[in-house]
Amino acid sequence: MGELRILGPSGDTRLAWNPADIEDVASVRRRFDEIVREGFLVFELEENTKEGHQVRTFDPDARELRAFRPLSGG
Amino acid sequence: MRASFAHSVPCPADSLRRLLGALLSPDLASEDVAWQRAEQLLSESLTPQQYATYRARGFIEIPSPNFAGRIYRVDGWRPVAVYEKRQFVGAVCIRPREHIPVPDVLLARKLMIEGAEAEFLRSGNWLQPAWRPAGAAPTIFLVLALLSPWLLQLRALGPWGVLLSIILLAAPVFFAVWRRLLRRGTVAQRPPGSISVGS
Repeated sequence: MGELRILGPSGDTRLAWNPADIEDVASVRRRFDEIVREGFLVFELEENTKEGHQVRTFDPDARELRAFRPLSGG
Repeated sequence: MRASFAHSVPCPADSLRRLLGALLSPDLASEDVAWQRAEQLLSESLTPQQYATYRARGFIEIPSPNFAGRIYRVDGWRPVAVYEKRQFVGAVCIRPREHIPVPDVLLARKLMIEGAEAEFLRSGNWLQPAWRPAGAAPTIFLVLALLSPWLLQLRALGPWGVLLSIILLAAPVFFAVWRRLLRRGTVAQRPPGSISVGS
């Protein structure tokens, strides 16, 4: 199972998918492409170190994805 | 905005506070729920060691993936402190464009540093250490104010005394200018793109 967590004002929204389920994958891919078009940054967490790597295309085999709007100078 | 450290330290009266908060201020209660979700997500997105550090100290340290010896000290509400070889060299002020709970801010900053450090530095505003802007000028004026009566006494020695007093009075100014030039030289020697100096 993979999961995409989209950070937002009231906490995160969680989307989970089963890589073997084509409909699941298609639905999450659509949402992924949508948020990337909106300018969200998406990072995949490395399983053991939890280090983030930026991704721009959806990989159904990814396990943990985090997405948020870009940060800006404060 | 509340400090995340306050939330990261377990409090025995937490349940009572939440109950009262829900009764007295539904808005704050919903924010609290968002905070709890963000805390949960943060715990799932950090290593156990990182999360333990966050709980104990309110921040985590992220080594720079691109600059050897640089460490970012990240929390959710203050600018991100930058250390090079354990020396504090400044801070990057960077925030979300929309309100998100503080633990989510920490997570977003951490991920940007690890996965998009160049963009992190480009987007944030670079803050010099706080003591620098106020450092030289007040000290120089204080020294001049304290020394001027004594230096004026050098007039009694004639023209050479006046010249000596002018040199001594001007010395702190020359020292400040020299330090400024030295600092500019150091900044110019930084690797390109190492730190974006913002407004």
